[in-house]
Amino acid sequence: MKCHYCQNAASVHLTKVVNKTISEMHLCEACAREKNLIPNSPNDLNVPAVLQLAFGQSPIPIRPVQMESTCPVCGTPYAHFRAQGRLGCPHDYDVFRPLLEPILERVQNGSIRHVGKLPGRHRRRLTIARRAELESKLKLAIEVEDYENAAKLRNAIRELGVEHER
Amino acid sequence: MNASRMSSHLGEWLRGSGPESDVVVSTRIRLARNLAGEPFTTRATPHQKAEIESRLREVVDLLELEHPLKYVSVAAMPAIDRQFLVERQLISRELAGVLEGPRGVAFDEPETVSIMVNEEDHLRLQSMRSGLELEAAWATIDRVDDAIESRVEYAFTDEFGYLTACPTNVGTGMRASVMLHLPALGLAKQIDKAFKALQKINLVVRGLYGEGSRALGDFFQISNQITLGKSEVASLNDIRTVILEIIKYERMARSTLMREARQNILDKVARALGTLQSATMMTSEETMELLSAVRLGVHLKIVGDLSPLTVNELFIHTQPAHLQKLMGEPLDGEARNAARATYLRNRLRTAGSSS
Repeated sequence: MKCHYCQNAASVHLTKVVNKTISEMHLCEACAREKNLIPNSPNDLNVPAVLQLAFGQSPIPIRPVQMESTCPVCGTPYAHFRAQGRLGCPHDYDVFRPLLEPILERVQNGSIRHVGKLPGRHRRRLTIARRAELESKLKLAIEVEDYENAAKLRNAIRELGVEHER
Repeated sequence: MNASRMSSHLGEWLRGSGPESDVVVSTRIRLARNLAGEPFTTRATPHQKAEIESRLREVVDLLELEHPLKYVSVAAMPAIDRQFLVERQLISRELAGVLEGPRGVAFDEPETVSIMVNEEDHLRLQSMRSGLELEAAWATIDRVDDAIESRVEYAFTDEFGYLTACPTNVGTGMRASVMLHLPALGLAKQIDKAFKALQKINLVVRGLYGEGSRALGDFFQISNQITLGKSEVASLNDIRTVILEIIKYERMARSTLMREARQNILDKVARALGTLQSATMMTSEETMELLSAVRLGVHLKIVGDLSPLTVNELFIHTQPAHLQKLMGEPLDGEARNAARATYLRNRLRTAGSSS
């Protein structure tokens, strides 16, 4: 997913729910910092900045998803999922994403990103992408002299290497 | 499928051996997988389900595993045979009775691997072992998964991992379950205490036959709850850590009982055995409770000439479908309870409680 302001990968996600309409905004870390969205410590999240961004004049909503929406591929209405607890097809994860993410967060104990096995055909491509992501984070960590985090990232990169050779 | 022939032996998970088998009955790991570009089973038309079944059946037939798999259609199967497979834990209750249309299961002769087709997900791959064998079960099912994936494309995204019909399975699609027998913790009324820690680390406890079933005979299944954001190996490690801890508690409770309430335990086991040896009517619930006490007696070495394997055999053979297969006729209600009691009396005639 691309940042709303630049072409970098988005890592900060804002979701707004008003009258059953969900809109979301995705930003990369740099733009989020620029907008003062990233707190220095977890305790001082810049609430006014978040609110201003979410409710201000900025060009959101980007992708409103209604509770009434239906998957164009399998024809499953979102309401059907809410009633049955079962999705209609793999595409639903994309179509209903903004509605699903809070549910996933709840049933999966806060996590919304897969960690673990990959199908063979995805393995190589993802390892390369993941390594690039970790390396850029490592660079950033070194720049801000966060050596503890840097050590963790270095280990993660090393583990990827092992995985890669497997 | 020849159920009568199958009933004469036990699946691998019921061998009654393997690591920590005094407390751990069995280990099972299942993976949920779906084909890319197809609707999930519950939204597929009968025609689509038939196509998915024949496609996957072909793939399953081509798998080269240690033990060859044999596919059977569950849709075409009499109700009693479906129940029989549920009792052996080769298929889920959902595949047996709740779901409709083309569906089936492939399994090997020693019953170490089962592959359900058109369950809630297109594929439910399972690996079963007796005792605590998380690594071995994972290695097996990981290999089966790779072999299938080399022939079909799974529904998968980088972000959400393996996509499943229910969001509670998305990610790894893995549910690892360990079945424990905790009679001493049950007697000491310490089960709740032992399980309290589980929820904090996202593990769930269930009864013998999965979701919503009651914990009969002090048998419990412990499994991972979350599938997203934690790798298979990390999940398995968490489960192992907890299971080893619970095993320790159960063994401590057993030795405390033997030290402080020896006569009570001997009496409880002897009475259980006595009832099984002489009753003329027996429900499956009561059988389960009594055999639980006998199993404890076997592991405390206070019951002579009974092996854990035999006790397991009695557990499974007294289940409704197995019992009817053994008797060779359909039996209902009272007739079944009478047949169960007769079977148990005959099998246990020579078993004695040695004190």
